[in-house]
Amino acid sequence: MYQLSNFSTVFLSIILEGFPFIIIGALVSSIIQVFVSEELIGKLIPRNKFLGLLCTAIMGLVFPVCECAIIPIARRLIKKGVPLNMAVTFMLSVPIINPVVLMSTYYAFLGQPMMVLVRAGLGVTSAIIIGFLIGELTQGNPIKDGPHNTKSADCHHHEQKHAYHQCGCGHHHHHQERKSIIGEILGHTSEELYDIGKLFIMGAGLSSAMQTFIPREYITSIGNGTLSSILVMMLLAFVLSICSETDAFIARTFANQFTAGSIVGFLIFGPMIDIKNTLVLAGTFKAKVVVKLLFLIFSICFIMSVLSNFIPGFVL
Amino acid sequence: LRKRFNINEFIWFVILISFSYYFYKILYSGEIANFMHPKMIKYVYVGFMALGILAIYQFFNLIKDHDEHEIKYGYIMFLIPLFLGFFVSPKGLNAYAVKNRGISVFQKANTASAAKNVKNEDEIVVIGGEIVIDDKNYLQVMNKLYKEANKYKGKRIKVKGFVYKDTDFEKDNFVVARMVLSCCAADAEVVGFMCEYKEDNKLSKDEWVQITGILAEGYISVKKDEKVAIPLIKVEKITSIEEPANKYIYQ
Repeated sequence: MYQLSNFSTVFLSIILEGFPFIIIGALVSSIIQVFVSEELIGKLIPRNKFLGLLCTAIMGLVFPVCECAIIPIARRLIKKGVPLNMAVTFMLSVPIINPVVLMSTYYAFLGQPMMVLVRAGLGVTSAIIIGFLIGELTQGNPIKDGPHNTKSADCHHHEQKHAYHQCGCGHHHHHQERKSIIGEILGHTSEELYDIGKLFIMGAGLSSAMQTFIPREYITSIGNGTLSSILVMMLLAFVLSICSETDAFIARTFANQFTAGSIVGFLIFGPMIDIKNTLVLAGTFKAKVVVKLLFLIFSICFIMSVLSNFIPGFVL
Repeated sequence: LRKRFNINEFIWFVILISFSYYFYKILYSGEIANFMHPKMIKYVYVGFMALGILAIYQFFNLIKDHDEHEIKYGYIMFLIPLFLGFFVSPKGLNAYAVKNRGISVFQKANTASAAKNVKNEDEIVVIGGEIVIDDKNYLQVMNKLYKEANKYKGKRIKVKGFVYKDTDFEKDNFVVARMVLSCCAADAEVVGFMCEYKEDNKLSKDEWVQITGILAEGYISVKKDEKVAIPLIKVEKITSIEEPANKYIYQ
């Protein structure tokens, strides 16, 4: 009973904390859907691939959204014709270099201000590399077919009948009802909340179950060597699923036990991926793309964390 | 197509309105303090209002073309937290959560060293030989005491918290512990002071107490053969207290 109460507390607190941001993300995504055309996006994207990746990577500085809100936005951008590499770079870097996250990192590591630079620098670099590689490794549409356009022949039939899927967003619309713009935005937001929310809740449940029933010692007992400690901290970041805006405070509590590199691993890997994000990604992208993406995120973050141990003057 | 009552739209409406009501309920009753740092509460208000607006919008969708027949399974995911919220109605984390969260205090002294807005130079206030510690300066004082356990030896301290005992502890030892929240209950960390009390078998787990004692220097083993000095409170007096309304320390 005590543990059920603890489980529910953690579970509900993740939902209470995450839902406002998911709704904000869904709203931004809906506004993009309604107001930003494919043509405009086509014009805005720089011709040079690396310039494009760099621009999207640092967009987080002016785009203060954390990881709960970013996936619907990234998904919408892909559907609007933004190349996969840029959308992924955007999705991975924004939760790390947004101003709120950098501030909280600064406060958490008051004694080591370099942590902010290392986190932002390595986070952006990793996001660019991962975005570039996933773009090279993926062909075709990376987005999962929605439940409504799986039966394509059938759907085509519908399309003519209802002017259905006119907007190509994969949602179920009833355009014949002639909604106002506000109605359209609310409708999209609501559907997006359902799509993302169900997976988010599942992830929050898994994460709270692990927090409640698996002693943290089991994870930390894997080791505190240079490499094993990085694995431990990345695993922790994955399991805990805490918001990137506060993860620095948690990372700090491990600072004395583990190497600086492993703390960096926690701080760059956590915002990119955790249990709840994995589920949301799995509901958004095709299975092959998700597996590749998880593998890339894991290996690039691991390599970056190892490298950060060699940054001169960077000790905790 | 004929317009008919749509069961999927209806379930979604019920989910939205219930979530909105749940957000309202815990904001209004103040239970939100069990889940969140006060700085995050404004976002919960945003969530409450956004869910309310979506629910109102959804109300007008109830009558719709009936071209979907199957009930969406995803709704179950939304009903689980609602069920837990209304029927389990959790009252925050208790001492049973400590074991699995790990108690970071013991791992090394300066756990709270960089606590937000705390400068290391800040001195501890000692009035009449007694260290002043409350919810506001808890982390700051704790940090100082862990760093310089030696300097404050012999001072009296009066501190509140819940009793935590672990199998690793020495026979007469327990921790008077608090949970620290930096954002929400998912990131709660446990901190506290090791106490020594001869009759500690009278204490039960999760009991809230106020202890008065004298600071001494104690040791805990971090790794094999490696010991770290920590402040140890030699307890003079223990009083049971009610669980406080604000049971967390917010940083």
